[in-house]
Order: sequence, then structure tokens, then C-alpha cells
Amino acid sequence: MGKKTGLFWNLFTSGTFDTFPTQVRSRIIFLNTITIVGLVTLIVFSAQAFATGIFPLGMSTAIVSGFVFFVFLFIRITRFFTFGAYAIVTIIGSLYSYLIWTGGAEGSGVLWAQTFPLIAVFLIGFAPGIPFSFSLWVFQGIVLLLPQLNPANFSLSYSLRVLGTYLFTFIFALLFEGIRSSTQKNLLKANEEIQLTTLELTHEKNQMDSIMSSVQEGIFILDKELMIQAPYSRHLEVIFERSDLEGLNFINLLRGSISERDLSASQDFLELFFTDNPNLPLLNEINPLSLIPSNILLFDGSMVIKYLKFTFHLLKDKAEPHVLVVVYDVTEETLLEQKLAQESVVNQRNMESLFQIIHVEPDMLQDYLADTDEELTALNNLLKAEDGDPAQIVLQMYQSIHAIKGNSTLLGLTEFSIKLHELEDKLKDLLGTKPGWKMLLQLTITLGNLRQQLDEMEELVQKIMTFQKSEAGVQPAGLLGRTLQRLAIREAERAGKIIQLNLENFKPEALPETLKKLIKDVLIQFVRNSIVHGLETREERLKSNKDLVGEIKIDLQEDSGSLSLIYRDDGRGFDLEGIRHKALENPAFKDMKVENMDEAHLAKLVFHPGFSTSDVSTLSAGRGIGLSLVKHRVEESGGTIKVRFLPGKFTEFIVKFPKMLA
Amino acid sequence: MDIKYIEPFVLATQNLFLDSFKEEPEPQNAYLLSKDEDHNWGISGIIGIAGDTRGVVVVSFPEETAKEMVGRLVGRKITDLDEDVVDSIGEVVNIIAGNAKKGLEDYRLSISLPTVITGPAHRISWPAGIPIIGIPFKTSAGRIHLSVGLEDLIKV
Repeated sequence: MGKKTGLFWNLFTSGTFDTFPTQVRSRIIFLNTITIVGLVTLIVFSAQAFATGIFPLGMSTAIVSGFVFFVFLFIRITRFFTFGAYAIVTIIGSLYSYLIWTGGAEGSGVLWAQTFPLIAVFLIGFAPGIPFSFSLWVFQGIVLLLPQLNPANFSLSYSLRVLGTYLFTFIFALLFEGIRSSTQKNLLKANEEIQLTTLELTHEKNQMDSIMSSVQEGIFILDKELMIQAPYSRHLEVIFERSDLEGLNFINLLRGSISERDLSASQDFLELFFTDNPNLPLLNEINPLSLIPSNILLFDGSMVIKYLKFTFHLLKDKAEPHVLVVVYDVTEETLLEQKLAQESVVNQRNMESLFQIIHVEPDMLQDYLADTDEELTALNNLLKAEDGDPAQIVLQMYQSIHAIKGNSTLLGLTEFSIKLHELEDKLKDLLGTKPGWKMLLQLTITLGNLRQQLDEMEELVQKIMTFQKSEAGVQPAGLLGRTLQRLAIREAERAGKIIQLNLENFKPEALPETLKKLIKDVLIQFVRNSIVHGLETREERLKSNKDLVGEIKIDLQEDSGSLSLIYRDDGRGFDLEGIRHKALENPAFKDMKVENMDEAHLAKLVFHPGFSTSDVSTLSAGRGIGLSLVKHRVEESGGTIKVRFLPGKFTEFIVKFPKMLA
Repeated sequence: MDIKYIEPFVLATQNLFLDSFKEEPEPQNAYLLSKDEDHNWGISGIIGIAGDTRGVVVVSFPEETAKEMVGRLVGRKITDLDEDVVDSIGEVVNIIAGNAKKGLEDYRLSISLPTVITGPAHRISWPAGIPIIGIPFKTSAGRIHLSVGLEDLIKV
């Protein structure tokens, strides 16, 4: 209600009555109205009475108007309205009595008296109004019905009508007051109730507001149209990094943040809540948003990934069902869990690697890691080169992986070797084909994984190195020799043969690193080749009257023009017919006229990629790639390779490197 | 890193060229991208991925390629790598991301809007501890480059 101002309002409310209860206010207005209207009327009448020369009437009217004015001022100042009301009723009652008694101008006094019940009942209320009004009626009756008192000589029937009219006004006033006060009482009661309810509601709302603004979850309610209803918790805005959530469709809110598949699943899921008899436990289980990675757009336009967890609860106690949704931001927990899981896998792998590498000399391992890194880098450069021929890449990859595998088995890195072996298998199937980008992509991914494992191993080796630094320094001299010894022992054990490696004339220490590495790669292949193919089993050697211990002799000779590596085993030599037989079976050699090939050319077949005389390929040998890799590497460095053999006696490889390499 | 997450991006890149320039560039040999490698990219759009796998897919353009491509799209010669070019490339990457999304619908993945970064030697913050695969495309506008670094997540 707006504040009312103005002169009239001020007059009728005695300044202001805002501090008074509603039911009193109407009386105050009525009281002021009566005093003001009465005052004006009385002044007019007294003036008229004086003008017409009726002094007693003029005087009396003027006195009464004085009283009324006094009351007007009194209630305005003291605000004793009840007293004012009684005073006015008394004054007017007295004035009317006087008018009745004297008859008034032309006997009109009784007419004024007719208004008294209204004034009395309305001003001072039901109970006190009745005796006042009734008294005046009785007084009027006495004056009118007793002829000696009747001032205007009204006839009996006129007098009875006046009394009747008065009674009628009286009853009407009572009736009206009754209805008014009871209505007001009801209103009052209703008002009180409303106020109480408002108070409770305000309290509840305050509580709700404080909950909604302080919880660390997003809480909101969805209607049947999946619109977000107000109020929702403030944290919801924090989670979704936006503040315009009220009335937003929930599915639209998630669009772009989660995958389309999850989005449509969520829509279907939520619609199930609004069906007639939703199966809540089932719905709880199939919640597609129980943990969902979401891309949230930030205000600066960048995206952040949050892991959100949603729970949905049906609210049935409303006329229309609603769904209460709670969102939790579980990004930190989820990332931590993932990190822990990831780390435990890496740790486990590291443990496995550790068990395997702990037995190997760190120098040897570092050597191995550097070699492998170099191989992989070379391979990657091949991949990176524009317009690289996929067939060529596969061949290179096959050879490199084979070499890496050789080194890995040599160091006893079984797990890693098995992986390489699997990759080798895959590559073997691709040899001679022209693989598409998808296949190459897959191979690159595998290479990436190998490199990653290698990096992890490297880290591990570094740790071990710092561990062992304090111990007596390991002599790097003779590392290649020791590596070869190790290889020979391992491979011989695996093949069930006994062999001896003679390295008396093998002193590669002074050679440059690149050449050392090349020699190492070459020798690894030779040694494995000898043990798997060349050298006989004990039984065979016994039969052929040979020393039970097979011998491998490696010499390194330097002369003016070149560096010669002479490798010799005292095994069975080449089985030329066996080679011919194998080559005939292998479709790769179909066009080479193997049937009529001479011995020299047959021997050369062992250097051909894809040739192997062993039926089963194992981790050690039998891939056929070994010797072809050797030939490739040697020729790449500008060297030459020759093979000599005597069936049943020996096989000898003579590798010559140009002097400038040394 | 699973090829099934990478393939849709390769196809989306091809499709973009098919739709916009009527050519279908073959992906070149994929290789391992070293994180501190010198690249000649002038502008890159980075698409974040989360869900069954996590990481980034980056579409990179050498400056000349970007200018040439946008020049063809708008029908005039572009000389500077200005804001319009950056916006257009952003839109191109956006289309690639959008197309790839369709191919990834079967997986639980959420794919971010691309963020574009420019500069002659801009650095991309690759996820740590995983290999990054580079897949170059040879187009008539020059070479463009798709780089993928996605983690294998262990289900928890």
C-alpha cells in the first residue's frame, strides 16, 4: 500500500494512524469525518441562527461547535480516539436531545436525531452504541408521545412514524456494524495467519537459500520438459562455469560437453522418470551420467575437462513429478585414481624390468639402450622422410626389430623380447607387400610404445647406476667381448649345445664407437647363426669324431688397407642341398632358377632376406633376417662380406671394412 | 594409443579436403613426433579429448599452407596471417573435429572445441609420458599435419 498524503488524508486520519490496528482505522476516519462535517454544519447553522435573530439557538449551536472543535484538536494531539469517540457521541447525543426537546427550526430536530444510531454504533461500537441509541429513542418517544412535552405539536401517527424510522436506522446500523466487525475479525484472523505463514516461509526460504549457496554440489530440479527450475545451488554455476541456468534445458546444457551418444542416452534415461511407473532401482543402475568426463567451456573461450557425477531422484509428492538432480565434481578424485592405476601398471612393468636388468652390467645395458635408441631413431627418420616407400620401411623395420630383439634376448630382457618377437611376426607377414597408411600408423604406434618402455627402462638404469657408482668402477674394456660371451652361453644353453668362444685375437677396444657397434651387430648374428644352425649337437659331434665342445673363433686383423673380421666355427658348414631344397619351397625364390644354381650362388642365398633353414622361428634365430641384415649393414658401411665353408668341418665369414672407418 | 580413436580424425581431414577443395589427400607415413622437434607450423588447432582415452589431437598448418587454403576458400590472395585467417583455420579445425565426432560416436568420448594457437615456433603442451604420433598429409595447398597424443587409460 502506497503512502497516502495530502490535506484531506491528513485531516481525516489525524495526521497518521499507521500505528493503529486496521479495525480501529475505519473508526478514526469516521470520527474525524463526523467532527469535521459536524463542525462545518454547526458553524453554518449557528451563523444562520444569529442572522435570523434566534439567539439562544445560535448560542447553543456555537457552544456545541466549540466542543466539537475541542474534541477534534484533542484527538489529533492526544490520539485518545476512544475517548474522542465517546465525547463526540455524547456531544451529538446532547445536541440531538436539545433539538428534540426544543423541536428545532420548524420541528426538524427529530429529523437530525434519525442519524444518531448510525453515529453512535459506528463510532463507539456495538455494545456501547446500543444504550446510547436506545436512550435517545426513549427520550424522543417520551417527548413526542407526551402532548404536554411535544414542542411542535406532531400528530400521534407522525410521531410513531418518526420513532419507527429511528428504530429502522438503529436496527440497520446494528446489522451493518455486526457484519462489518465480524468480517473484519475474519479478515484479521486471515491476515494473522498469512503473516505467520509468511514468516515461516521466509524462514524456510532463508534456510533453503543458505543451503543452496553453501553446498559443494550442484543441486537442481528438473520438470517434465527437463528444464532447470529455480532455485538451484550456487555451486551448479561453479561446475558449469555459467550463470544463466534457470529455465535452461538440461540436455542443452550438456550438449557439446559430453559425447552425442551419452547425450541421447541421457535424454532417453530422463524421460523414463516421467513415465507412469518408473522402475527406480533399475534407473539407478543404468544412469548414463554416473561418471562422465565433460568438456566445460570457460568464460575466456578455452575448455576444461571435468569429471562429473550425476545422481537423479524422483520427487513424487508434487502434483506433477519432478526430478531432483545432484551433480558432484569428482575431477580431482578421478584423475588421482587414474594416475594411481597408471602408475601401478608402470611400476609393475618397472619391477619386471628391474628383475631382469638387475643382473646385467649397467654399462652393457646403457650400451644396449643407446643402440636401440639409435635403431628406433633411424627407423623414425625413415618414416619421417617424404615419400618413403612403405615396402622398404617394412623391410628396414623388420631388420631393425630383429636386431633389437637379438640384443634384448642377449641381455635376458625376456618380456621386451617377446613383444619384439610379436612385432616381428607381424612385420614378417607384411614383407613384400605394400602396406597402407593404416597399417603403417599401427606400426608407428607400436614403435611409440616400444620407445616409451625403453625410456622407462633408461630411467631405471639411471637409478641403478647412481646406486652402483660408489662400488668399484666397472671396466668398460672388454665389454663387447663379455657381451659376446654372455650371448654364446645363453644361446648354447637354449640350444643344448656346448661351445667355446675364442676371442684371443679379438681386440676391438681401440676401434671407434660406430664401427664397434657395427661389428657387434654382425657378430651377434653370426654367433646366433652358428649356435642355432652351424654347430652340431653333442651326439652329432660324437658321431663325426669331433671335439665335443664346438669352437667359435673370432679374429680382428688390421692391415694397411682395411680391417678384417674373421669369424669361424667348426660346425657342419653349409648344407647346400638343404639350402636348395628350402629355396625351392619358398615362393620368394621362385624366379631365381634354384634347381640349376651353382654352389657359389646357393651359398649366397643365406644372405637373402626371408631365407631360413630352420623350420620353427624362435626368439633366437630362424627368421632368416639375420644374415641379410648383416650383409645390408656391412655393405652400407662400404665393406664386403665373404663366406667360406667346408661341409662337416667349418664355416668362415670374412668381413672387410674400409680403413677410413677405423 | 588405439588406432580406432585416430582413424576418424584422419578420415575427417580427408573429407574436409574432399568437400572444400575436391581432392582427397592420402595420409603419409606416420612417425613418432619428438616433443621438442623443430616444426615449421605457423598455426595449430588443438582438440582436447576425454573419456575412454585422454589427450590431444592437433591439426597444424605451415603459414603458407594456411594462407593458401584460406585464400582459396575466400577467393582472393592472402598475404598476412591475420585474425581472419586464424578464424578461418579455427573453423576448418572445428569442421574436422565435428566430422571426427561422428566417427567416434560409438565410444565414450567428449571432444572439445578446438583452441587455435599461432606463431612461428608455437609450443604445444603434449601430454607427458606418452608417444606422440605425427601423420602428415600432402595436399595441393601444401603439407598439413595431424598429431595425436592419446593416453591408454586403465579402467578404474
